[in-house]
Amino acid sequence: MLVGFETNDDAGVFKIKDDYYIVQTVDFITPVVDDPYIFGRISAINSLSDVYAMGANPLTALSVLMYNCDIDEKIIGEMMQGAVDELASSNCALLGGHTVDDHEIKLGFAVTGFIDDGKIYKNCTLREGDLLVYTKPLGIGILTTAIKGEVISESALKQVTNAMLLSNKKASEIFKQFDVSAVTDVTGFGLAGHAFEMAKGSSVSLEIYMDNLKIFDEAKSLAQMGIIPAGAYYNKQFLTDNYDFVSDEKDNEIIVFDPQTSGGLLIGVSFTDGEKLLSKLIESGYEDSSIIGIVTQKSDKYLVFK
Amino acid sequence: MIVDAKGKPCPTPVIMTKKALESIEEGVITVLVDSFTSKENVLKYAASQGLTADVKEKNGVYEISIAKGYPCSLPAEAAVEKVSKIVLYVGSNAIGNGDCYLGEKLMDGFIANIKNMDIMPSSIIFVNSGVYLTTLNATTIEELKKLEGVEILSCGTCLEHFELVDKLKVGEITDGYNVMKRLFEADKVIRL
Repeated sequence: MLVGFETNDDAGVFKIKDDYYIVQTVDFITPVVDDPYIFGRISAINSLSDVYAMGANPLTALSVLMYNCDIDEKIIGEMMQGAVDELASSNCALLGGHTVDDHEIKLGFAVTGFIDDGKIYKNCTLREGDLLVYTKPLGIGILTTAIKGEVISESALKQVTNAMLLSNKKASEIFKQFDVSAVTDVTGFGLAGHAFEMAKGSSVSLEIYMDNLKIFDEAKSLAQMGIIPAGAYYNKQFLTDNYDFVSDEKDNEIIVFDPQTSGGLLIGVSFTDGEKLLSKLIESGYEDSSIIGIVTQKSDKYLVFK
Repeated sequence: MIVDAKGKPCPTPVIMTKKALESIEEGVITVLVDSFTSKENVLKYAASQGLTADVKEKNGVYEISIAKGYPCSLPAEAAVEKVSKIVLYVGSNAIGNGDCYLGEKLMDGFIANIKNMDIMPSSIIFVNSGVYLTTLNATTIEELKKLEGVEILSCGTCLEHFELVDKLKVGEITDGYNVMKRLFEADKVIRL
């Protein structure tokens, strides 16, 4: 076994033979948009993301589906169609799955991928002096909460849907071309939670610059109105002793803890390759990528937001 | 009024609070929640609306009292309420006579600044070449989209006349009857 529980990485990695490893992960989510087909696609993209964050290619998937029988079969059909279409376009074969009766819909996949060049991109191998690049705008959890509350504008709905539908596949192919030390995908624990796991695992501290973060405009105003998912508060509570927030942007503090569905990749890259990686990402469709911070020697807090 | 949002997941307590506050002109509502998250979110919502709120905790239940419309609320909040019905009547794509280039520039500026006024018009009605502003002028279209709670109406006959019916980018199409009704029922009509 090459990667297990210990470092809270995106997926487990198991060695089959020299330079050939299998990568396994499972993730499932509750509906984040009203359209079942789009939700199916997002669910598949979200589940595949962990494989891409390890620098692996997906191979097979098993579905994990929960729903109440009162729901129209057509809706479940559309949902699965969205997921299957997305898996197919990622060259990932759906082998089967398991369904359980539950009061709220949940859909996700256990995905198996492979690495055939012996290169694993863990989350716990950051180097001091690396730059941190993040590839999507933040605030997805706040906006999907607003979808549930029916208080989202049409333009923000479109923006957040597109962000969740942006697969990390190409970003994974891109980061492999540069001097990258560690990668993770940002999901339920928010930017801060996943950054903390990287910092702790690597025994370094991270300085993150609030001015450099891309945040959906509407997520900022909704956060001020209290449209904030409970997960954001739990994430913040969990990290209380491990971060400092010294920026003036107090209003946006909660957004770094916002749980992201189908979030972007958080990449540690050498100082010399940082700009190159960034421009390649931007020209390849990850327009909201930015350099959000740097890796420093370990200080008394793992994370410092400036 | 008591809003019982105990056991409700995010963002339901905030939405329930919002609806309750919108349903009253003034008064106090009491929101009951049983999680720290919901308490924080409801307080944030009240603060974002410029309303004062008070919290008491009893056996894990938070009792949040929010006052609306009393003098202690911020003046900005009171100001955005519609004190009287103002209708903005835009009869041309430019302001004033003389240089039409200057007139168009003035119109762009005027529309862009409506959002900064203390009192919002209830309706803005575009007639004659005024309909250019809801169909072809990207600047005014964008600014008009930002106006919340303001009815934006373009004269259907005028859109047809300029062959712009399918170009309408903001607001709705209206007819002569509705234009007249808005004008007759208004407390104040501002003509441009």
